Amino acid sequence: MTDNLTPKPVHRVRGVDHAAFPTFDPNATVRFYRDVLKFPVVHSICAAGWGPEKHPDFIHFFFDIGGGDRLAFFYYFGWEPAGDQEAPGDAWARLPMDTPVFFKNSRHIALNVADEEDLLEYRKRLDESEWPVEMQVMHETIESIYTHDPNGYMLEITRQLRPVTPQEDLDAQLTIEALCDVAAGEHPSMDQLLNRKAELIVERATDWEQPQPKELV
Amino acid sequence: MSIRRIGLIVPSSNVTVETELPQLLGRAGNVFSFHSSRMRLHAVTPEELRAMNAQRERCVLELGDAGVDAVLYACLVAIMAMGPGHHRDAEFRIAEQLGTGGSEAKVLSSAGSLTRALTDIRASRVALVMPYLEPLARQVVAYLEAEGFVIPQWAALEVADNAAVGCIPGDRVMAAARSLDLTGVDALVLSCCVQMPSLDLIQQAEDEFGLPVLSAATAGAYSLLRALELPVDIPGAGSLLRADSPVTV
Repeated sequence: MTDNLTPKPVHRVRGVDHAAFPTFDPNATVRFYRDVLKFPVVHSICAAGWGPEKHPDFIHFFFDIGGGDRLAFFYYFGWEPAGDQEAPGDAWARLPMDTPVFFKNSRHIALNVADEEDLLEYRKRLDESEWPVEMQVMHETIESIYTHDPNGYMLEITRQLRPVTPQEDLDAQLTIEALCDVAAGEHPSMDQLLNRKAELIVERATDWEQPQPKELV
Repeated sequence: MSIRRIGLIVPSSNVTVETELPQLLGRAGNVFSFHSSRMRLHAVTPEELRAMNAQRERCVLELGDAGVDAVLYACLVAIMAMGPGHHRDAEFRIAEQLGTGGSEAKVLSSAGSLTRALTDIRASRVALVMPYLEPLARQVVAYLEAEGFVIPQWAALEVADNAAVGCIPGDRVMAAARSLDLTGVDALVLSCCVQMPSLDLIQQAEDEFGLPVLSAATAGAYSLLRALELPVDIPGAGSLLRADSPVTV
């Protein structure tokens, strides 16, 4: 029930219930997530295709990824992966052979840890396994480790080095508004985006002269 | 008129559910077909009941394949022996399994059906006749008490072998009912078990004792009709199943 004095906020979602991916190798998937990373198996469903579309019997199973969130997999009995298994990609899809790594790795999942000790703990667990860390990077705001799970999905484990500031949120909003504007036009480019963003800053600047919450000044 | 497919998950030694439910629903004014899947069970003991519950996933798959409109998990004590409120968990897991595969079947259990029927007729003080050994009977009493009912009187016939439960004669069931003090009782559950036969006794007992008489079977039929949004109007099996009968003077 919502009482009229405190209406619910517009933004109501509470994080990831689950993100789901197919697997053709449940054994390795369970070894990677349950045995190496120590993510508990928390749920499974055995079902078949009873809807309008025919599909094979399947198992839908879930790992706890903290915070009440879950990473889930589907295993379809007798279903074979499509495409050239040597091509870049993952269990869900294979991409053209010349697809660059940056594009393939752009689709990934990143899990959050609290601090350096926890990040290094996961690094240790991975490095002692069949799936060692492939890359460890530190930006100004985050430090991350990366590997690919047995299905070819890129997994990042990351910690924030400092909180994102309200100024950065505002800057992001302007950038994305500019992006949407230029992406709707012909041949979008970074130059166009930066020009459009500058226009937006000029348009909005008057509003920012108004009194602001302290952290925005 | 479309045929409504009813899926039944029953203990392997059960012969009563598939007898009484078709008899009841056959008088309900719609056409039903019945499709069973069985879980091995011989003795109604906590160990065998736990082993039986582990077979549920296979049964759900079999009934999902049959494209049923509703599934009734028809073993009341298997649910109740798992602890208070378990019918909600069991129904949820079956519904989740079916729903994940794209089935839109309604999901019920005998235990959930009984509590729903008792709630719908606004019974709060309820007497029970059960076939179970006393420890299991006490679990059934505690389960219904945890659901908010008061159980002032109950009788347990102490039959453990489930095949033997299916052969308990009606006069023994009625004798157990007559042994209870039904003063101040709102409803009598005459066969709080889907295997102990009692369908022929329900109307007779209701007439004799002057109070609503239900069984696991009549509560199951009632809840199936409600779940399928069909009228509840079955003659000769107690007032519960005449809930939607036209009122006659």
